[in-house]
Amino acid sequence: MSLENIRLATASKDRLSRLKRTTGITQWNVLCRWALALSLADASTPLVREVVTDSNVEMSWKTFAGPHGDLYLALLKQRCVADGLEPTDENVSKTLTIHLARGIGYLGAHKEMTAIEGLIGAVATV
Amino acid sequence: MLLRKITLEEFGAYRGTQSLDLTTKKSKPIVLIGGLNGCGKTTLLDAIQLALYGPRARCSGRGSKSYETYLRESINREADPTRGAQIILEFTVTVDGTEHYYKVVRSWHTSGKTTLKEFVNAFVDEEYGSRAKPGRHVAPELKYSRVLSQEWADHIESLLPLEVASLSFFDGEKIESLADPERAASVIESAIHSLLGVSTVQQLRTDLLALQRRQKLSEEEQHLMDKIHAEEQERQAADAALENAEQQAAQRNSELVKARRTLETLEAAYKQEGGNLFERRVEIERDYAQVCARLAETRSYLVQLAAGPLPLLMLGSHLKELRKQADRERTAAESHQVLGVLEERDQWLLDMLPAETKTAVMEKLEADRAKRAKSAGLTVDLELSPDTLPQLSALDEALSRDKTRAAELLKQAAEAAEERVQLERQLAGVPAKSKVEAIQKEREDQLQEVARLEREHENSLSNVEELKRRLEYVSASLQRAHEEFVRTKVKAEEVERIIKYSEKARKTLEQFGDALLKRHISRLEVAMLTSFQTLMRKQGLVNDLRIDTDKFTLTLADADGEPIDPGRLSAGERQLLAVSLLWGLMKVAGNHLPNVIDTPLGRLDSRHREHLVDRYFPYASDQVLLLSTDEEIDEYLLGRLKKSVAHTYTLVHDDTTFTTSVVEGYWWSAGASHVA
Repeated sequence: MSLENIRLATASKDRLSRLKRTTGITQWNVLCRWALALSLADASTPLVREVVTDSNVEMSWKTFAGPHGDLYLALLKQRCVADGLEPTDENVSKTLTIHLARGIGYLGAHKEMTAIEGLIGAVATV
Repeated sequence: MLLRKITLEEFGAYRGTQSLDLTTKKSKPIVLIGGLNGCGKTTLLDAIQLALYGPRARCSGRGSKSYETYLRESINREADPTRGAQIILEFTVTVDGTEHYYKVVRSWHTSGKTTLKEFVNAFVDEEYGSRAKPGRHVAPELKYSRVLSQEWADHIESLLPLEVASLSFFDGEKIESLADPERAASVIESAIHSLLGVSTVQQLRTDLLALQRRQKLSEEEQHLMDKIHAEEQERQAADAALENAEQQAAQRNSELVKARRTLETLEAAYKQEGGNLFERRVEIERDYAQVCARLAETRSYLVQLAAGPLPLLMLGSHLKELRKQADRERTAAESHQVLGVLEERDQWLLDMLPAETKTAVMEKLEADRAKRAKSAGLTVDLELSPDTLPQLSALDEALSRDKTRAAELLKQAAEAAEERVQLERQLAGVPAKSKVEAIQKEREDQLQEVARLEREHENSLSNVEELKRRLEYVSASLQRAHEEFVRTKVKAEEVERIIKYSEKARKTLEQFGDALLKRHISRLEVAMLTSFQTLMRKQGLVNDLRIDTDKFTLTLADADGEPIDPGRLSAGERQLLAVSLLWGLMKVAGNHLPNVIDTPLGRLDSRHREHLVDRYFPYASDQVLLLSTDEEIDEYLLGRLKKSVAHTYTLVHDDTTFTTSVVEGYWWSAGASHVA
């Protein structure tokens, strides 16, 4: 397992700080998981290829992924392949960073998703 | 007044019991009592006065001695002092047309050396005059009177005042003193006042004044007046208090009505401002808080849910793909394992097979293996963990469970949010707290104010009731007092009237007194001048006689109207003047008092004596007790007097025993025993 630590970009951190207040979700990792899932659900390739992870928010993969770490890893590898990349550790890590950044952007962009009901409603009512 | 009898027992020089009948007739008014000097003529005069007046008697022998000593010494020396002495005087007095017969017994004795006891016993026969014709002697029916005995001094004063008696009982010494014009004035004054009734008028005036002074409202009545006054004040106060209280009650009532109206206004305003809703605010806020809490709880559940696998729901297709991949990878792995086994088994089979079939079978087995190898081959190898498939299965379960739960929670949250919105709207409908609060506070204050005013109003009403009762009570009390007051007022008016009339009467009496005095004086002047001229030898010496109404001094005037200096009169003439004064007084007084004349003829010459005997003694009064020596009324004069004499007595003195006894007859009259 090559994914050691995950560090967020400052912009992402600011957005998440706000979301922590609005949603009532107090943990970075939970929000990050939602952000990742959102981004992965979008089939399009993220436009931004490089993300500067310059904030002080950092977590381990285990913290990030929780009990479903294998599945998230598999999904990331799947995405690498889908995006035409070898599912190497490096690519998986890069993919994670990029999608995380895009997903956090998606989270803040949708007004209803700033509340917990909106967030959960977005998946549970589908 | 007429003296009837005098009895002396062991008095002075009189030894034993000595009696003198003193009754006279109209035509014979004289009782002639003869006695030499020192025989006891003056003692007899003293005895009459002592019997009547006791300690007040002006006895000649008393001098400055105390009454007790005088009495003690008056007991005859020969007598037993423990049995004592006694004077009994009987006399008649005509009061209101009825003649009463009195007998007064004055006795005294010593018991022991120091103490002396005196007794006065009075006896009276009220009906004497109706039985006795004038001049006839009838025995009186005397009865002892305890009241008279006890109050003799007062009674005798009403019968014969001492002042008057002192004028009618006189001796030569008194006549001597009256001959002095200065002394005469005081006698004239007292005589006019007492003898002639002027003092009665004076007394009447004094009595009226006393009556007037007594006619004050008694203390009790004064007290009643004060009480009425106080109660009137109290009623006024109660009236005022009631009026005040009623005003206050009315004022409070109007205040109360006003306050209630204000309260109504406030209630209306409060309602209008959503006051009731405001009252529910707390409830709504509680509900709101509860809803918020529920919502927060639901959200926290959602947050918890969010921490689970839910985000993976978004990746359903990816997961499906992943499952396929995992299947493929598993199949490939299995195939890979089976392929080796099959090669071994195929080899084993081929070795057992005949050669001829060997090739054909071998081809078929290789084809199968190739097919199997193809299935084991992977286009993509994600190197998925062998647990991925079970994990995915477990995930499916978890996701469906979480999804149901999420839907439930979302529903709850939506409901709570809806409710919250509702409550928020209601809360928004609740008026601004401060505004309502002001009204509410005002309303509550007003409620309290109304309650306070109600209490006050009630107090006022009960106060009014109490004052009404009080006023009723005071009025009733005052009514009662007023009735008494009316009576008192009537009395007060009566008193006023009495005072007014007594004042008037006193004025009248004063005038009357003055008039009476003047009249008496002028009558006295006339009577005295007549007497004097009757007695005087020198006719025409005195032509006029005036008595000053203020000073009561005598002024004599001669024929020319010139005043005569009293110094120019001789001693005899002055004595005659004194006698004529007494005579004049008796004439004016009405000739009804006994005259006791003691040794009146000393210093007078024979001519004057003749005049007295002829012109004075028989006419001086209805009763004349003449105490005389043999020199004064000698044989010649006795002859001239005889026709007017009722009784004659001689006081006989025994020089050896120093005792006197009374003997009937005079020296030259028949039956008289001569001097021892």
